[in-house]
Amino acid sequence: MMMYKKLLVVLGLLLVGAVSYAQDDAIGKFFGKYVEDSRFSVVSVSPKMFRLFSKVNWDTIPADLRQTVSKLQSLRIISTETTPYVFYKEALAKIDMREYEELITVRDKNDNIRFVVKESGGIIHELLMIAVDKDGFTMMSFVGDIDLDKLARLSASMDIKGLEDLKNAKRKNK
Amino acid sequence: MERGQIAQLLEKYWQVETTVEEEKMLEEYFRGTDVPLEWESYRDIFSFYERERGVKPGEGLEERIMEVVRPRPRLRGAWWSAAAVIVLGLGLSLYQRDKPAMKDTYDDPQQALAAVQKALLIASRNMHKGLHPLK
Repeated sequence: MMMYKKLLVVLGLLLVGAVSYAQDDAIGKFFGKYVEDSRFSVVSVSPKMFRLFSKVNWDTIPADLRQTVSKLQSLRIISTETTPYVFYKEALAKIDMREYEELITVRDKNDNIRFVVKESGGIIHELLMIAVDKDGFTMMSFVGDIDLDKLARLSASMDIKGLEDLKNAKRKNK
Repeated sequence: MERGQIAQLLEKYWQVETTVEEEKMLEEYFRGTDVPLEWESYRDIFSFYERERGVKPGEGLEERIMEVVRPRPRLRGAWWSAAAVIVLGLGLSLYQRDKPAMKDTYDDPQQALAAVQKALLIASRNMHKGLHPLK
């Protein structure tokens, strides 16, 4: 009888562990806190939506981009124009640096951008970008199998005009 | 014993009105030798009961029965609660993970894809700033 009680206790602990693990994710915490906050704008694309991409017309999308997108599982963006530096600090404080590895830090007069990654077995599973300037704060998380080289090359193959086209395309669809 | 008496007892016997003693008397009578031919078949009946009464339960029968019917320790209950805890845990962790972080912003995959592209390009551009700061 004692054995089964012990078993239950162990399972209970596992459950607590699983739940706290689920909340450990830095951007998850930040999202959870601000997703309903009107000061923030949020974009999230779930793994389910990523699976639906197979039904979309990909013809106009460059091959590099297509490959990168097809390996992603989810995207979350949260951004605000209100007191950007305050939220930047809070976001950095929430990130557990034991889990993430610093990748790139840009700091100049206008920008403050950090890229951190979650890696295991040579594969990057999450890329987190935290950026701030006087106009706003943005936190962006890509989850999936991320090829940094390819990602870095994407912008080289597409100019800023391409970006503008995308914005327009999005508006047209609405 | 008188034949008439036996006939009476038999009558009572078939009406299921005989006492234990009376049945014993009948058994005794039919064990005897002077049973008329017409009652010969009754001999089997009464000797059958007597024989069966002598049958004793086999060795360890009680233990075998108790083994089958004894109340189990609450093993089953424990396993069920264990299973319930696991299911609850999985459900809860999925719930936690999906909410509120993974509420889709877009219903249309085309729009979602456009947003993903835009995000990738912004990330890529910012990476470039870090990798080639002098450009």
